[in-house]
Amino acid sequence: MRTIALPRPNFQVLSRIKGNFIPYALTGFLLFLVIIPLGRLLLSSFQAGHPAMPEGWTLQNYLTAYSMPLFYQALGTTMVISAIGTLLTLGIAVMFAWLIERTDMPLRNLAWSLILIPMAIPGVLFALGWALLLSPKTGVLNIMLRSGFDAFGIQFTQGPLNIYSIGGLIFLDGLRGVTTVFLMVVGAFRMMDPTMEEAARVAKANGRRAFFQVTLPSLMPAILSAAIYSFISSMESFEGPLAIGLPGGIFVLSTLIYFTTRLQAPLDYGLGAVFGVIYMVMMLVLLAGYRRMVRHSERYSTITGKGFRPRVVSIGKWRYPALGMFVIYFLVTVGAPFLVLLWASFLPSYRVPSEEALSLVSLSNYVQILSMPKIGSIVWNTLLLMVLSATATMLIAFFVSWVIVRTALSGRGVLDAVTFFPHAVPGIVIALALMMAYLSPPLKYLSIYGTIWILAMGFIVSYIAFATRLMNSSIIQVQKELEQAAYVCGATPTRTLLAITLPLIFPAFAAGWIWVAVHVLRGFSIPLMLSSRNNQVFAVFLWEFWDRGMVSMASALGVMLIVVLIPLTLIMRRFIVSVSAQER
Amino acid sequence: MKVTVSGLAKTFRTMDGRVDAIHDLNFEVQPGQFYTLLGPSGCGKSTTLRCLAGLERPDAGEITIGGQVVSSANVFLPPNERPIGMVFQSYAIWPHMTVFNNVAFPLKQQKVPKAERERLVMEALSLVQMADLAPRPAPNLSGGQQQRVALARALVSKPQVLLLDEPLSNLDAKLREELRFEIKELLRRLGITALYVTHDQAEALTMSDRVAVMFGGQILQEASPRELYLKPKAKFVAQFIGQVNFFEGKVLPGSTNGLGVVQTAQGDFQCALPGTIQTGGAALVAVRPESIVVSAEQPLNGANVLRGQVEKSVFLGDFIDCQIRVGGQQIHTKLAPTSDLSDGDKVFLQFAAHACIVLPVSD
Repeated sequence: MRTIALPRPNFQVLSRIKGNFIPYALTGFLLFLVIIPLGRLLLSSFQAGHPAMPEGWTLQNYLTAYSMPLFYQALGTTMVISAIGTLLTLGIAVMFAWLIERTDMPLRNLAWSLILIPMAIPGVLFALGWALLLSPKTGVLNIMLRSGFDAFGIQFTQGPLNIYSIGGLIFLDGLRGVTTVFLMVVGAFRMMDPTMEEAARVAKANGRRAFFQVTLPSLMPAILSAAIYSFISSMESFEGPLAIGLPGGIFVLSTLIYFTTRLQAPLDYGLGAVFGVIYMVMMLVLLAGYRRMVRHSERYSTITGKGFRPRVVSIGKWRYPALGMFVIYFLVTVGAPFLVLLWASFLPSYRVPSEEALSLVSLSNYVQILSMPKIGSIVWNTLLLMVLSATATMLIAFFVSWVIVRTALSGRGVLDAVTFFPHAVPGIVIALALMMAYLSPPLKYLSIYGTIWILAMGFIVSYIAFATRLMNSSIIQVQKELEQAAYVCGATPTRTLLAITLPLIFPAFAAGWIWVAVHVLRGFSIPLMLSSRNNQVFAVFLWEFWDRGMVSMASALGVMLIVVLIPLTLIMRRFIVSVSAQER
Repeated sequence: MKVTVSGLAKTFRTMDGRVDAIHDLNFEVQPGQFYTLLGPSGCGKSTTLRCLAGLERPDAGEITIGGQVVSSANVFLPPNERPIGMVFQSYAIWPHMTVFNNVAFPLKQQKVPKAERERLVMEALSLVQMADLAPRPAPNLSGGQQQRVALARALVSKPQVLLLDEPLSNLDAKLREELRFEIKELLRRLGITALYVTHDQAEALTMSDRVAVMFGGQILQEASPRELYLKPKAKFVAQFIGQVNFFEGKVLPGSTNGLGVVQTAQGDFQCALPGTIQTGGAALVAVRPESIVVSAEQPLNGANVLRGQVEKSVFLGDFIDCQIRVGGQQIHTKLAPTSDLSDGDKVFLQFAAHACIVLPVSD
């Protein structure tokens, strides 16, 4: 028998890599992106001096943190704000999920869209808007409250409310996360099989017992995992504490890191690294808990069936009060802060609304912004960063998820953990780690620091966990034989992925792309940490105006940003619907 | 193109430990032959086909296609480099493409120029009578149409070997029968070597030139459909293909002209003895229902006659499945639809010596 066998020992490895080059190369790139900076951060926490010129190994950084009252204070504040904020978020989100999905509240469909809009308002702008509304002396609402109390003969010189307080931070934090938690639990409310409730009713349970003994327990895993997710996000929150906390002298962990490595004199990178490491370890513990919860909820979700209409509960005379609550929620999260920013953006300098101020209204701030010479490069930088980060994140996630889901590569489990791990790393810590890694040799010589690329790397690491989760679950749904048919037709694995798998999961890919793009546009922590003269983006530009007290200019920029973000956010609903329709 | 498989083995690791999917498998497919791997689910037939396609990597053994080693200890060609076409059980028609683009995909991988590609695609679609549906989006096809497109896609690049993995099992009975003949006819015309995997014995018998019956990761018997039905070599083969009645017994010593006597609980049977059967040992006599003559009167010739009572008759249109109790055993027979026997009737059963299949007990 004639054979053409070539007895080369490495042939198997070569032939495996040949057609799979892109997936494996991107997997390597991702490992590099995630592990190098975080490793550098860990090293720096044990080094004295500037990371670029270390002055030997030391435990001094840890000792400094250990004996620093401000650190414990910040830790405590972070915990308190996150705990109370999460309860608030959870209460509001679960209530609206139930009202919108399972009751006969009027305008439910419109409410479903409107509840997404808070996502279009960057955390910084939400905080700035409320600073204008509730600052002790000049806050619009405070002035209205004072004149209200005045009518009863009670007089305040300032206040009565002060946004620059822990209460203010809790208020902002509690409202900020509602949209995400709503999206996490609304599926559970929709997918809940009404026959389970009906079965309970048939088994002689009354309405309330059916709710507490069947409905609520079956939703509990979804609600609990959303709670932990929300708590993690609150712990990582940076923008509210930056805009509201720092001026009020209230530190949380994220702003403490920012302060230590970007504001104070002299900067202390070693101490910042210690905070970052401690922060990361705490988040890892939380994340481990979250993963356990999610495993539970997946087990439960397989029980629920498909393709049924959830039973709608009539809430009778409570229909309009329910709608009223939603309107108030919308005014507080979107209406009021947006309107006050809009008002401020029309004035030469900020004034409380009055007839006199009305005569000063003009578009001159917008004209001024648009005629600035550097606005062109800033908008270009921002758009480039958005497209680059969203595309790179989704493509890396797609290929890496394919390696995780479809190949027999040993170490897939580790890879899966590496892609999820950055979820535990707050944006501010990722930025700090990147800063240290790319300011010091050998990566210094790549000259990436100070370019748009380092910002993109920060965003990719930040959002890779979300993106790989989305891609994992989408790729699993693509029948294996569809890919195998392509191999047999002569396509290489890479070609198959691009021609077959990617088009098939496109709705999920597009939803993820928009999600990342929106988060890049509204993200402040990574740009603020990593910005320098040449890589300025919109968020940094805006923050600089606010920081220099130019409220009107900052507001005008904020309004422009929100106007761009709202349609992007609403497009996402279309893809969310088509993604969940696919899952069914 | 000739296909050879020798010493093939594949073990899967599952949560319950290791499972031998196939174990030391050997066979040869001659050029132009329609070769079927037949067996119940889990017998390893699909794994074998997937090893041939390159979708699984065997743990041991060698596979050659047209003399070229595609898989051995130090060679493993990925599927895209093997000269094969494949049709999947689920059709695996890509839903985001039209019929035309589905079929054109293999040609695009080979960088066939556009004009030539169009010609070849339309040619392949005409072969399966789907040319007029070329622009249709793939999801708007019926099951039968999807299977035709899958076939066109597997054939369009003129592969030397076609692999078919239970291609008809998702279709309804009538369509399945139609497509059986259509596929066989088409492949014969093209002169292509085909490897067909199925669990359906009727499909295997009607379509194949050679059939290999698989069980437990091994081939029990490989033969032509006729030989397989008439001369099964193992109990499993006899009962997997067609219906059969078994009688346990002992081969009595002495045989003349290939005829011997097997002593069973129902009496002594005169049987044609294959050379492989040892006289004096235990054996199993298998008799097909259609070989048994049932009559109300006692036959004149006395050999291989049993007495029984009709227990149950099921009218199936083209024949009556009549179950007759003989001693402690229930025996299936086939009667003409015009037969007027009714339940409880006393009857005589008779079968010829050459209708007895004597099998070894150890299997």
